[in-house]
Amino acid sequence: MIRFDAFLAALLIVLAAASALGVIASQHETRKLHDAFEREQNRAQSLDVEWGRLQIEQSSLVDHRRVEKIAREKLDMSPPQSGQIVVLEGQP
Amino acid sequence: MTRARTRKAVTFNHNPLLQLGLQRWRARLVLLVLLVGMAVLLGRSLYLQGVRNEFLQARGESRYARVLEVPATRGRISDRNGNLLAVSTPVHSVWAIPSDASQLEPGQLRQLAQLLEMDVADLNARFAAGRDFVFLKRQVSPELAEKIAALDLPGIHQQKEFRRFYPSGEVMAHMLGFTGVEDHGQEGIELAFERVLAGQAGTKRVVKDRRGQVVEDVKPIHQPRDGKDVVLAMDAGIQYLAYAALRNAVQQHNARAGSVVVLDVQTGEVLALVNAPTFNPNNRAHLTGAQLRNRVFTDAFEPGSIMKPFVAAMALESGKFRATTSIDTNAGHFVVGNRTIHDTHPYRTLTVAEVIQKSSNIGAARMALEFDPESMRGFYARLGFGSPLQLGFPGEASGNLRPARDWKPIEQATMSYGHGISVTLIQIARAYLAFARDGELLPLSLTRVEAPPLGTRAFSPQVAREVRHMMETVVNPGGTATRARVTGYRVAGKTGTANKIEGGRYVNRYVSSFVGLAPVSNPRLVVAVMIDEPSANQHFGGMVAAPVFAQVAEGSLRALGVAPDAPLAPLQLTAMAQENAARGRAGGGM
Repeated sequence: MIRFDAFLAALLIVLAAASALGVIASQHETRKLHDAFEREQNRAQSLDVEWGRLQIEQSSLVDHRRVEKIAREKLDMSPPQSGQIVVLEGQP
Repeated sequence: MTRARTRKAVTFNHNPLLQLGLQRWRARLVLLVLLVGMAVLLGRSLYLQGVRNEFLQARGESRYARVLEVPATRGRISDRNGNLLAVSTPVHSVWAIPSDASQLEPGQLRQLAQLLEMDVADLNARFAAGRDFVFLKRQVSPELAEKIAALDLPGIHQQKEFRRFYPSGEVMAHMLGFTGVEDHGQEGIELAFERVLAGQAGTKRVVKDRRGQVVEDVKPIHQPRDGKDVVLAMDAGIQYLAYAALRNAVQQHNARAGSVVVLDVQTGEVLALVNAPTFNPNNRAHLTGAQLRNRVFTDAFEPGSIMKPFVAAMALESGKFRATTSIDTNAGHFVVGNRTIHDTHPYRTLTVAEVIQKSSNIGAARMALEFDPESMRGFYARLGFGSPLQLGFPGEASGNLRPARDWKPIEQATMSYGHGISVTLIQIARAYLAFARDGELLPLSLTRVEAPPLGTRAFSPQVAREVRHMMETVVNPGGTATRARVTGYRVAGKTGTANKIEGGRYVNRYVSSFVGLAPVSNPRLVVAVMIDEPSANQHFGGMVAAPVFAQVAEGSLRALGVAPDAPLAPLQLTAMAQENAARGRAGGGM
């Protein structure tokens, strides 16, 4: 009887210790995952920021003032004169 | 006897003192005191654990838990085709704690000043201002922010903020408006749609470790809500056309200001809205009130002859006149009360159609005087004059349309040709929708609309078509605005040249205008042009404003892919003008 009690106590102590270690491990895992999550979130945010900057850059590249300037000065283009326009009839 | 015993060494257990029979209460008292002490401690700990635990937990948490702000971004603004017109992007502001920053060595200070493009003396002055927190520079570029962070100077910190960029700059400045340093809308669409665009920053509670790193997200308190994007009705291409045409006209005629509005006839959308002078919303260092003014909405002016088509419509609608009815125009002089109305070009008689074509003041006055003031005012009010459009634009003027009971005959006569009444350019553009839509008015929209809204009828389709044809004669040979003609499309419109009032008197300064629609066979656009005080020799609407209309209408119709409804043969007049323009460009461009 005494031996059984001692065995049970020992078992419970081992289980308690294992559970405690498990808690520590999972807590650590949580924090590591959270850290990774945080980092990914920051990355997503900075990608979003970069996207915004690229959009601004794109908008300023296709800005009509710039396009007209390049068309007129570099490419020597001009709006079509009345005799140069041909209208094609067609089904929409 | 006692003495003899004490001399003898005794062990503790045999100490005779132990043999003394002390009173039992003494031991009990000690025990009681100890028990009471223990009970007090127990009670206290129970109290702290059980009753006052919230307070203590909060105190404990405050050692490691933090509430962080989660920023939300402001919505983007784009045109109807998805071109981005306003984007928020994070920038950094550099600030300092002066007491810490005072430890900076002169070399470090010089380095910092150089990066910030500021004087060392200026920096020192800011540190010496006696505050705990000073901004050194707001909204620096990310590259610069990184360089400053790399210096790792004591007492110098950075803070993330949002800054709004407007890639199209001054072209759309009045339409979009701008935001302040705190990213709140202050003008234009930014203010009108503040509730939609503004994001709401959230907060979350986190656990930080000793080094300040977040180790656990406890819970979000408020979820951040990003601002919603706004898609405008505006077409960036048409907007640019209008901007370029207006800028050239204002320069060429040395005018004080000008505005252009382009409306989509089918939906009531505002496709373009420009003012001159304008400003660069990305750099608002030296702005004047004149630059900021969105004249299309805020400036009510006496419209002049562009009101005449409405009088013609009223006359035809009543059945008292037909397009061919002759009106005695008295050879250019017409006395009403004690005042005389003049025509620039005197005629003996004109038909209603010719009154519009030749822009006769007397003809319009004669027609108006056939109506009682109540019904004429009612007709004007139905067209939207005298009340704001309420599109949410800041500072929108309602114009002036006085109550009919105050109208004297001379006033009623002058109101027929647009004097004694004031309107904004957006009001008059909208009223012209009635001609373009066969008598129907639409509510305008600054944002893209999918299905056209319900309109209200101002006059019958028959009348609208008849007046439209009268307005087409305005741009044909013999009319006042042959320069409004466009290759390939039939256009119709009306010129206006109104004397300005200063101190209650009419002076020799003018507002030149042209409002028109195109193509006549199936209208798609209404274009309204107003040029304020053209001063380079010309001031007639047909000479100043009509060419702007032609440029904007031609380019826009082509950009929209509208099928031509007129032969593509070169127009004599525009061909000449274009040749001149081409020669001018060739000379200047090479």
